[in-house]
Amino acid sequence: MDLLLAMGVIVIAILAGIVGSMFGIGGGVIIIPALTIALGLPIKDAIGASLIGVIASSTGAASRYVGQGIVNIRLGMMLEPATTIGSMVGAVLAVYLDQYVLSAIFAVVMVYSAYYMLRRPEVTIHDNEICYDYLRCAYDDPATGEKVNYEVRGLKKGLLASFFAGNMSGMLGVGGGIVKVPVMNVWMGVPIRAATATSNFMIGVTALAGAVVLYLNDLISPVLAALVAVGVFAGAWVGPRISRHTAGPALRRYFAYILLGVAVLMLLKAAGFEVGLG
Amino acid sequence: MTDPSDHTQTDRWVHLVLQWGMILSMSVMLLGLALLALSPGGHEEVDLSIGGIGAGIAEGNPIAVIDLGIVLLIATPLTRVLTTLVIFVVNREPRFIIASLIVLGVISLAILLG
Repeated sequence: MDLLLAMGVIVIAILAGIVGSMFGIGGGVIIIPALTIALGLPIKDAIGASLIGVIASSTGAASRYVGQGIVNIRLGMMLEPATTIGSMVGAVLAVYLDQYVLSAIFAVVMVYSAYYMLRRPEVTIHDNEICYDYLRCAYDDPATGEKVNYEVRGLKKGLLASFFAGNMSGMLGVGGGIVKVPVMNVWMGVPIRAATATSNFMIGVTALAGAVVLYLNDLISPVLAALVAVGVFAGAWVGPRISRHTAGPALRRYFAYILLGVAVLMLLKAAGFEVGLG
Repeated sequence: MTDPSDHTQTDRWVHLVLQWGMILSMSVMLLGLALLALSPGGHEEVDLSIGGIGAGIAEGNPIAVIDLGIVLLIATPLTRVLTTLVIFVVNREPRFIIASLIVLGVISLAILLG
């Protein structure tokens, strides 16, 4: 790999690491199209490198957010089985279903979630109200220094939504974070800061199985994957420091814009364009 | 009800695992990339088993060093799940023990079928 290409990969990985770690989406949605379309690398190598990048993003960002006490570890652990089972079932079902129709449905759900995030304010609660007592429902907001209490509601609905979210991502090859965050934020009442931090925490495990399978089948190109991982680590060091100074409502608005952007990519895919996703 | 100190304790362990996973894997990958930059070209990709990587490193193959870094990175989320499983067992939190076991089961299944 020549030096210029290596520099290009690192720059892309740093950007993906910043965006991925700020919003809990891992950055595959940036890495795969950028490596394939902008740098012309084969999709097979891009997918492997992207999975390694997601693990790097999750590890780097979650380490930071866990240290700040923003990650809801137990909520993440509750939702994780539903998404992993969902994505396995999705990967099997994908063979039988029309990818174009699925992409279009997925885009519609994303647009709805984005609309909800832009129009409805977040609900926080007073200290004395109850939530599921085995889950944590509070964190100290690093942007304002205030303690934020929230209610994790609709756990059953959330588990079901996580299953379908995992399903969709398994069928379409879109990363888990872009669906995990709306599930927690829109359907379960988890504030965006806690939802993105918790998603960051979860996606490393979601990507794990895929990464091991590719590794054992010799489908990970080591130099490319290492360049992506190092770049993403650097980005994931910067991302949480930016989000720390970003107010919750702004973070939520930016996330909605990202959702709309990905929805456009999915609609293009539904219309038959090659967008380098899945 | 879970004692709030359980949350702090879980945070501390998970933070430790993630932080060291990051530091170790990144250092090893950077070392491999630096070695590769110093002696570019002509390096064979090595057998990816632990023995193969070990032999490659012994021969001074930078690709083998990079492979070791990737293995350390992939091992980090797995170690994280195992760590939380131990915490949940010690704290006797059955629903989280079950959740962790399901996740480990699904990962193993994916690897076996893959």
